[in-house]
Amino acid sequence: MNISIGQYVPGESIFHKSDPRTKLTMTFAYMVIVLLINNFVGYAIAMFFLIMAIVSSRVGIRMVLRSLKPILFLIIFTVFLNIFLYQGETLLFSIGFIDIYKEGILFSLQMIMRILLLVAGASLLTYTTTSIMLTDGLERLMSPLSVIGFPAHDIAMMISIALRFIPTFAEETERIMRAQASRGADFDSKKLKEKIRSFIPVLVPLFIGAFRRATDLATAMEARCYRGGKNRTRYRVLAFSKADIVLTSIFVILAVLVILSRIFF
Amino acid sequence: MSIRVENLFYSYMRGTPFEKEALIDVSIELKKGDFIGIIGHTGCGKSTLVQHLNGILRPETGRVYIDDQLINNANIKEIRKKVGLVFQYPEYQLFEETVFKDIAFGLKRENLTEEQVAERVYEAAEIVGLDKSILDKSIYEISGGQKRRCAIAGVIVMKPEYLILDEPAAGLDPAGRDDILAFIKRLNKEKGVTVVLVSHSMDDIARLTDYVVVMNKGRVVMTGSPREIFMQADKLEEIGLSIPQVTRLMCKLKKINPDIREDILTVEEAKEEILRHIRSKR
Repeated sequence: MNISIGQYVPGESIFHKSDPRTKLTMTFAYMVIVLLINNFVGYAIAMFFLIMAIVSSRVGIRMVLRSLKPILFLIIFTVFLNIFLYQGETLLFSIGFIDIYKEGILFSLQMIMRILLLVAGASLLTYTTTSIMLTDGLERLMSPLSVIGFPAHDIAMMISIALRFIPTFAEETERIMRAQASRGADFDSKKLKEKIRSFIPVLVPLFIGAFRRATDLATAMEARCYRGGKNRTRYRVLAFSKADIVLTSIFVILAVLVILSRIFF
Repeated sequence: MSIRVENLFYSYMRGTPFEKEALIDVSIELKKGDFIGIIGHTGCGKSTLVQHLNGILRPETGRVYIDDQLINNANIKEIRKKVGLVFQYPEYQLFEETVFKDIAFGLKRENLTEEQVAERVYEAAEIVGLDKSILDKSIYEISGGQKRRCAIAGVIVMKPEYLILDEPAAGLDPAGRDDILAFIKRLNKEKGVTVVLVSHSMDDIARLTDYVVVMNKGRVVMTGSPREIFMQADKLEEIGLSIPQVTRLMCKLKKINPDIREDILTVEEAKEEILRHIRSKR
């Protein structure tokens, strides 16, 4: 089962060392920057930065490629649509009623780059940050909103519990599927109706398990006197370090270069 | 006729930084009709190995033969009918409305009449010791031990020639434990079903099995009759396993009195041996 999104790869790189708040803000800003790019020079610059980031994070190019696998279909689909439907000026050739324009191809190329940059960049965040750090950072970033009654802590807690249980449920799904397969369930049927039906023996135990786990977790939290975010102290106090300064400066260079490329090309 | 495993390798999370070798060059032959025990430390690859025996997991390299038939995509359904696998904590896979329906789940594809299905279900329920009155109850009304039996019955109902059980007695009270192990033993003795039992209890393994496979860190380190295996206490302790309590007791007695036999595996044998010794003294 492919659950590479949201999987932490331990390491000592600058990405691992920097504060989750920095990484979250940077990831968000990085996405804005990527969407601002409007020419190939800009994409080349961003691509260069991304590759350098992947290399220096030591996550491994293979892990990043794995995160792209689920969106492969999306990429192919958008490229396909753009190439065939784009109405440009320079007609390259036409097959029947389909006209293919040079601009269409160029536009699709930009789309590919854009999706690649966005997804690979975002995957770097989850690969280098544990889910606990991530939600800690999220909570701190959202905490100013609690002034207007926004439940920052509760939402962060919910997200961290959800993230915590994704691998557990993936594992459990696989276990139940194996168990049902070994007592005669057939998951390889070609017919859609059969296929949907074959998942009932998996879904029922999975849901029951989820409720059981939720009750157990609630009891365990209560037993340890959890009562929400009020006056809660932390074991791990977030602090900015040199790594954050380096990361932010590199990011500022990227932003400046991208904006320059917008002006000059 | 046997289950034959040749040079089996398997690792989890292949191609990621988390790759972990679970099985390393495993070769074993499990004879038909035997009661086979697999022991080893938690995480030694027992569960991974047994999941290869009915094609739930496919080997990376190596081959698994069931009665000289290599497991492949074409015969996988036939193999799964022949080799039943009961997972750890199987009660978590129950899903039907009633106990009866859940036991009958595997029979859906068998093209049996309603009467035939009922007959098979009653037979399986009787083997595992579930009363007929329970069969119409919801699977959420019955006790944990009954759920466990219901799940095992769901595999037995397929009439497998080989029955593999991954810690079938884990987490049960002593009475429930003895009951389950007793009907598994009966199934082996009376119906000739080959049983592969994965267990942490050396006492159970010593008492029940004809052949033992010892695993450590993904490798098979010893095979043989329980007597051969448990006479090598040092080797077992090296890999963090122990010998049955009775055997340990007899070893201690032997130190006091050298003409007591130490190759004792069950309480019954120990009783005989101690009585023999006392009588010979007189």
